[in-house]
Amino acid sequence: MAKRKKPRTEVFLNIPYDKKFERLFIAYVAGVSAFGLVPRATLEIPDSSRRLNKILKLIGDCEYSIHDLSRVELDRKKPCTPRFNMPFELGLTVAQQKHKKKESWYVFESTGYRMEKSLSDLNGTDAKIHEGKVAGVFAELCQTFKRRGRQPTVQQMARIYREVRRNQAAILKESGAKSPYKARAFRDICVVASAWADRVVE
Amino acid sequence: MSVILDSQFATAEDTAAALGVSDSRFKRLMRLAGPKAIARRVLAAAGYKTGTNGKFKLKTASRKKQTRGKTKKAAH
Repeated sequence: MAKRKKPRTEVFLNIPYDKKFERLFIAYVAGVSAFGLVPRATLEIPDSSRRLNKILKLIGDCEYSIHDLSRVELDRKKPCTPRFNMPFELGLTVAQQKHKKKESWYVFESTGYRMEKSLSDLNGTDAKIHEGKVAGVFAELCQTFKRRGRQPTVQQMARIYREVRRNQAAILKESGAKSPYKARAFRDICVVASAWADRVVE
Repeated sequence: MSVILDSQFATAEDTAAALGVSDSRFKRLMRLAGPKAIARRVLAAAGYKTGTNGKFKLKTASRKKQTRGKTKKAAH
């Protein structure tokens, strides 16, 4: 019997859920799907008292994880607080992966050398700088992942991104959501991105 | 340093299975992202209107029939 390939690989997306980040959020989903990977996020987890356990399980289930620290900043709503979710989940991932003796987490940032200032414990880790641009996310994902056979180009990722954005309004309307940061909308966007990736990436 | 992926390329079915999307919803999403939907969108952008039985009608052809003669007078 021929040796079967490893089953699908899942990628944990640790990203901020805000309106300004929407384009980059879709870019991550499109980019990750273009590599034939399945995006996963804490969006899938319903709010409950056991949320942290579920986050840990989700991180553990994923082979790779992407942590975007570009919006770890003070919000405008009073009281002004920095956003700790992304660094916290990065910490959980690092601890979990150290335990499993592997290092497959990647930090993305919009500004160079900011991570060294905000999170100096990670000095020695090269953050991937996307400059807050969709094309930057694609370029950095291309630097991070390589696939034998079906290697997506930045143009193919951009095509998937455009198609997902075109379908976004219909998806949100059908799921009754106002933003893509809802569990059902996220799942639908991932499936559409994956369908396009399968079609576009040769 | 890049990671070399040797896993199976996840298709839409794989993604739907991993995320727990139901079969009916999956079919709906495939229709949404399918070639027919794209053709409809492209034609709509070009000013065409889809008619019944998959035939395409010009936008001008779908205008309401103009009222004439007695009907028009009665309408006024």
